[in-house]
Amino acid sequence: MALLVLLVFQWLGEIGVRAGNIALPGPLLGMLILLLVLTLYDRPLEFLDNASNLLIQNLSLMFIPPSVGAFFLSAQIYQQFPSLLSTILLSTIAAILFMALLIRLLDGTPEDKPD
Amino acid sequence: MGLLSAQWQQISLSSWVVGLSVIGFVVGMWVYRRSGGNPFLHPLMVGTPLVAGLLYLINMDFAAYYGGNGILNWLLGPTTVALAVPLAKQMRQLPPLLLTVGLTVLVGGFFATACALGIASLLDADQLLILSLAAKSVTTPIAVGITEQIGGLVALIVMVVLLTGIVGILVAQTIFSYTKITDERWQGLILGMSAHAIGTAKAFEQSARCGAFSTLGMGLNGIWTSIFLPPLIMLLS
Repeated sequence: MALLVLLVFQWLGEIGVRAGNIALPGPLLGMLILLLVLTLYDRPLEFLDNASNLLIQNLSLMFIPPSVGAFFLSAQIYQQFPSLLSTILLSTIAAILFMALLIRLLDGTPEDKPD
Repeated sequence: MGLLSAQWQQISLSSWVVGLSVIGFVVGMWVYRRSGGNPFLHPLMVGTPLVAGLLYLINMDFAAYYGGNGILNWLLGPTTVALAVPLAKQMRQLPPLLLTVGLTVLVGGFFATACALGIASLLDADQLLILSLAAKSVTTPIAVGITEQIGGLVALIVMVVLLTGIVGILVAQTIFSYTKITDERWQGLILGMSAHAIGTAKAFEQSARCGAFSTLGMGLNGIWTSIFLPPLIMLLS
């Protein structure tokens, strides 16, 4: 039942992407539509919570097939692994540092405010 | 009867291949839990080489394995939609902090991607490689969708996202203490935006509040990146 609800939103997203010629993956537009509906509805829906948790907790299983593909790439790609790893390392550090400084600028108080 | 048995053979053949992924996942989860959640022993870090090794061992080619795992690929669609459920629960936190969260997501999210693109081109990476790592700060289901759209390699982005998450949680605390980011909400937001699901898992270890903001950062950054990245790539190429 919950899977059907998720699929209906995925289809809505896919139809929307095609109809509106939007440059977004269909399931992502479906996610946005569902987010809008849930934010407006604002009441707990236990059946949807359970199914979503089950799917999200097992996400790693779904990523095994594509990530196994990383062991079957062309030599040309493997040659570039040093650049790939350096990019990941440097840009991740730079991004976290940038966001931390940006937040300091926007929200001057460094202390954790009580609720 | 011939048709039926042929169909049965096809079903049993394909579910057998999915079984390989399940074995990798179960072993990966077991090792990860035993290690107490060591990011270097993430289920994919253990499960993926294990499955690749099994394929080499039984001499199965990747295309046949990947084709047999269609059901797992198919589940990625509804799971992407399902991300709305935890995200919706965090939306009420947003209004009073809209300015800081909004600007951090818009400017910070763009910077993270632009920085990856810039460094990769400085290091003379191929265009295919650049397209395969552009979505690195985004949670995997969304990153896969974006990467397919801009023409990168899905096999690479999954590993790139994973490594980004690991680097993110390894360096975040040092950067937070250096820049004096002590507010758990902001630590969570940054963890979610830069290290997606791995950062969010880390944030939940710290506190529920930190985890909630991490979920928010991961979701909003995923949405924002999928909006600006495809046009940006078109503009650059």
